[in-house]
Amino acid sequence: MYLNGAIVSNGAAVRAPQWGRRFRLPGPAATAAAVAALFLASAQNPVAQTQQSSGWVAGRGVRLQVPAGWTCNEDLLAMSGPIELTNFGGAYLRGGILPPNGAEINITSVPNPANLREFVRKELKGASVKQLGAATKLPAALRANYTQELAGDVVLSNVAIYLPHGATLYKFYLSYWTGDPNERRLTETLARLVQEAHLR
Amino acid sequence: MSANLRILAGFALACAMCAQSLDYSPASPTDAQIDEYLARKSSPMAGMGSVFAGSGRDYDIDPRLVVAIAGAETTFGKHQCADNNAWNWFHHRTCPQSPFAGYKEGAERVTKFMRLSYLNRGYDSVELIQHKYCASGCGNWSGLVATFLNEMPANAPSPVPPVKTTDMARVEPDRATRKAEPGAGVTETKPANEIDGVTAQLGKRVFGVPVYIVLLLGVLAIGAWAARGLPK
Repeated sequence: MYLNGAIVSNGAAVRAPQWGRRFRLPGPAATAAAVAALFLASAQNPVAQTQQSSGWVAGRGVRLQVPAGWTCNEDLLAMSGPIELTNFGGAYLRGGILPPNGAEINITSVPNPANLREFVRKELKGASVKQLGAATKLPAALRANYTQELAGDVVLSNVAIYLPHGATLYKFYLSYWTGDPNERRLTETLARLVQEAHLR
Repeated sequence: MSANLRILAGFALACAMCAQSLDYSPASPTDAQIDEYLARKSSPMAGMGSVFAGSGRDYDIDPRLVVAIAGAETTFGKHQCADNNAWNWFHHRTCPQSPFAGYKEGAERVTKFMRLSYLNRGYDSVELIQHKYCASGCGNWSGLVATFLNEMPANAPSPVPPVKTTDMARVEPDRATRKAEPGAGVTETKPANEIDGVTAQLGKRVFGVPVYIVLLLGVLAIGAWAARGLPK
């Protein structure tokens, strides 16, 4: 603990080294130079994604445990963004495209709409909706399976679960490349997350 | 204006930018306004205003977002490593084959993807979008996108008349002579925004003075200030 230029430790005060005075460095100038250097350096540095690989995460009114083998983007949570879980460390291809055999789960929430089915139809406009119906074990929820073509040979498969809870609609999305050999395990992970999530 | 007031004003401006909706709205630019903007930027996509505006209406996305991303990624298609890929899709260290047959397909597909994979999922600001769209090596991405997005005209009477066909023709030769970078698909390449972003930042002006001059003067002033305190 610092107190009036001295370090206070176990009741004894020890004089802190006066670096600025010893080397006659002007404190404000050094600080300003350091700030300028940091500013210039930060303009060039890449954005480093902070990933959490285990434990509990919370965002957008949902609290859940990060599944084994998945990571959560903590930077997004710090910005009050959606929960983003990936099984590839968040290393998206440019455009936010999943790498081959990569999968993501996004969780967010919005005010509960009056007509859920109409809301889903509107939200998924343009997607090839394969199936839209009640989610198993969650009678109030709607589940939609849809695909989205990104390039000639790249098609994304998506599962969206819309879960109304009070005045809020919680939305869970899973995306992966069509033909992913782990498709079944991925959908099971999503189902487990939805069931175990703590909703506000 | 006192320092506190300036900080407050800056904070309010930042909040206003954060709160900016990326949904399609009556303020979204018209076909002609988008064309005029792209022509001003000498973009090979000039003339595609109706595609950007139409896709924006269809998928409830402000077309300015899709145009601004192309601006940050490839300077509006001027420095792209694969034909028609003004959004750098699939780029990851090497230049991928273009996923788009033309700019029209690209604009439509990117707009739809922004709706389905970003806005629907809660990535509802440029800052949040950056964390997914440009997951690494993009320190100034959101700043560039926000700058382009905000400088684009909104749907209001434009002080600049819409671009005429003759103006479009002036852009066409550039489009015709543009070639994909050599070795596309195998060479180690950098997305254009990593280079152009810095150039664009340095090209900005403060009270008419280029930013790099202001920065240089600042460094010199700090150096002189610091030197005064050194022992003689």
